[in-house]
Amino acid sequence: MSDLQTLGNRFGTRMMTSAASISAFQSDGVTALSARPRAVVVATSEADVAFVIRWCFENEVPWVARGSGTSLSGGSVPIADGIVIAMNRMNAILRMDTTNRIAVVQPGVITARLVRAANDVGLHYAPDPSSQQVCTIGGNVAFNAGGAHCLKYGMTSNHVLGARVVLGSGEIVELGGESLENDGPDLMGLFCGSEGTMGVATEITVRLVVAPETYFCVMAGYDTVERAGEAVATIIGAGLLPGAMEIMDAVAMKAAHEAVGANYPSDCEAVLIVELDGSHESVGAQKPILESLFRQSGAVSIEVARDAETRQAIWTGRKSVFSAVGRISPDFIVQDGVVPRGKLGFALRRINEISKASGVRIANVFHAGDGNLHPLIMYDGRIDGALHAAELVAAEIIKLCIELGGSITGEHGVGLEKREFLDQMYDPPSMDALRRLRLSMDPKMLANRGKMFPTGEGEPMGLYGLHPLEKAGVITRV
Amino acid sequence: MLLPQSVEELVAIVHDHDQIQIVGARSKPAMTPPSGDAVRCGTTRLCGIISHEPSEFLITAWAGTTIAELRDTLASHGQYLPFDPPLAEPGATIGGTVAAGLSGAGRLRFGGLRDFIVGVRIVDGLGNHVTGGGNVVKNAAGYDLPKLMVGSGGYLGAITDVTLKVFPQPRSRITFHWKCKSFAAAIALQTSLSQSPIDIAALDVEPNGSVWIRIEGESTATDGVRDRLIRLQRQIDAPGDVTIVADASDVWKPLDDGSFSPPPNRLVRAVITPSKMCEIDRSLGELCVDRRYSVAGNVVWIDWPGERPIKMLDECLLHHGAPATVLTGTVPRYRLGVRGDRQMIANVKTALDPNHRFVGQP
Repeated sequence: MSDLQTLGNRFGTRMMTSAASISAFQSDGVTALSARPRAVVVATSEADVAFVIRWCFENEVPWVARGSGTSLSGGSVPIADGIVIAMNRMNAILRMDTTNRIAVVQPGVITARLVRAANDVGLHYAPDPSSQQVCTIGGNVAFNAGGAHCLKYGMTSNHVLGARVVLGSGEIVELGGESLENDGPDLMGLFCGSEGTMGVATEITVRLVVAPETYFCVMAGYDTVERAGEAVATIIGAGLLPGAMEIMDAVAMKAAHEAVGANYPSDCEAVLIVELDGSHESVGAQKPILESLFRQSGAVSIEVARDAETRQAIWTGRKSVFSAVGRISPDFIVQDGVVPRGKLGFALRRINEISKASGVRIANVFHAGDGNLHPLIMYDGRIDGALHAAELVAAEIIKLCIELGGSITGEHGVGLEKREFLDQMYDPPSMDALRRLRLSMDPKMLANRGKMFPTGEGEPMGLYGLHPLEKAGVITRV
Repeated sequence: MLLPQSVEELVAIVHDHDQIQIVGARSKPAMTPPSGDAVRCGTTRLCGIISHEPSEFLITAWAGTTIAELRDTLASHGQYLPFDPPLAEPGATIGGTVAAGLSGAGRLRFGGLRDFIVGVRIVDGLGNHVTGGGNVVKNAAGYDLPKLMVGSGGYLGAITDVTLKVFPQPRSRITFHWKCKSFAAAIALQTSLSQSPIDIAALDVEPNGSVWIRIEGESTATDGVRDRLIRLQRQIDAPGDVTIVADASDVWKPLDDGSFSPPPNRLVRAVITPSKMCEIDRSLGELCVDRRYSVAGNVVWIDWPGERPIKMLDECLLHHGAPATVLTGTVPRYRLGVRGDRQMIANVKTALDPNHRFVGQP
């Protein structure tokens, strides 16, 4: 048992070890997974972070840095008996620079707060993960957070210009810079999305854009999901580049209606929401084209949002789905696969078949513009075998995504939840290159140990009954 | 020079040689200076489109495929490369473009090469064929090896093929010339435009006060922008003439085909920030070199006289904290100014090329 005294001496009351104080840190957005850390240390500076990481390096103790713990892949679940470095108190917005159109922030800054700060100076921070009221920039960088606008605007990585990072080795490095452009290998690009396995950012430079000045939102109902998928292909094929394209299926619509009163056309298997955004000139020119395409798409109903309230209501309905499903089902697994856009209709038909065959209910929302699926697999954890059945369904869907040439994760990352699937996407030489990259930054594999990389034990967390660590009583599910 | 025609041949070359210099079509010859004992391995025979799925907004091509061929293939389906890669005319390949990390003026609107590369395969220093990224526009699995290869200059591995996200081609393009009375006024205008919601595809500035604004989209949109620019002209303190350029190729071509800096001069691309434009221009002005600011003040292209020692430019860039790459001519060191983090570069080199097979400058 390593001596925590050194940490205790430096951090005093900012180090917590009692069961009560660390219980809030034991899990994240994947509530089924939980582990008890040895201690939680609250960092308030880069020097604090470096101190903890170097202590961990000397004492060979694994660690994970944590923002708000909203990961949907178990990415910030503590390593059992490891250290949690809580980053929330490093939450200063250090600089807003309207000439260079950048912001420099500490990693604990909450996304929505950065958006507000940018708006206050007439600019905008574009990435909009749906947890933005809670999630932090540091976590977004670690997991390359996405959102509903990724086809046109990209993901977090496309908006991060530079960072200071403490690597797992304890070294402090500076990546990228303040320019939109870069010269030399894109080191910042490599670090973004590395899921905490290389190190932790202590200061982040993001680019700011100008918010779109106008939007044009249309919601159309279709009698089949395939037809909604075809409409997406038609819109894309016509050369339009909407800011967002979302599909909701019947189960998702029903949940949203019951939760927030959102109204959807009756007798529709799916709705497609398409939003144009940009300057008055761009949107004005594209509006008639989009309306015409919808009219020709075989839609059962077309609702054009003629005012801000209607637009807001459409988005409130769409964004309510996750919590709406939480009202109709005690538990659910949120998935995050990607399939080629043209295969969306087929993928949903297969998911429906999987749902019928297993008896497990699934609600579906898609970021249709980029093929990113979010099946919400519902179960009641109080019923014996229900979680297991849900996990089997989840595994089938992940395999479907791989078979269709997609990805196991569009935006939530691999984390803990999908680590055993990474080597189904990448062959042995590629996995080896990933491992060597990791080891070059984190030679003792302490930085978020157990995440992203398969264990080689072949058993994903809980997919076939209790995980060995659960059997050993080291981790538990809630 | 060895010219493998397949991945297997390239792998064999890597296994058989201790030192290898990867060479493309040499449209950026400064990046492949004489390499001493290293064997030169060209990629131009590893060429051709591997797959193009217009409805998926994706194209995959071998590294030796020319930008020109990519553009033509995409154009025939109403698509284009939004990051506007330069040097197509002298024969630039996609592999070399990725290795050099080059985007053109049009990268302003939707992002640079790094924002459009979604997949890459390389032969690493151990002779393994490694895949990074994927065949979908959105992917968060594994490390972002595709981005790491952008700007890697042949130093980390030999790129065999690349998958790019593409966008629908704008139906109309129009270039405005706003002639400001001074460079300072031009910078002020650049700032105003960058903070306006106008969807601007390219925004370049010259020391003589010329501001070049390229707008792309539906034709009715481009007409509307002209009206807005005229209204803007009345509102802001940047008097000058706003005219539509009849033949816009005169404006964009010199940077696109490299004729901005004809031999024996050297074309140099430096990365800056808008707030540095004034001071850097003072220094470049004192050095009496032609220069053009692009990407709303994030890049400056420099026409460095062939007979002048490049060291002078290096010192200037170091002083201003800017990095740069020499693209044409022959220089011993083509990376100038402030470079990327040494420790991080050493780490990725150790990981991908532990025996230091690939020669290059990071």
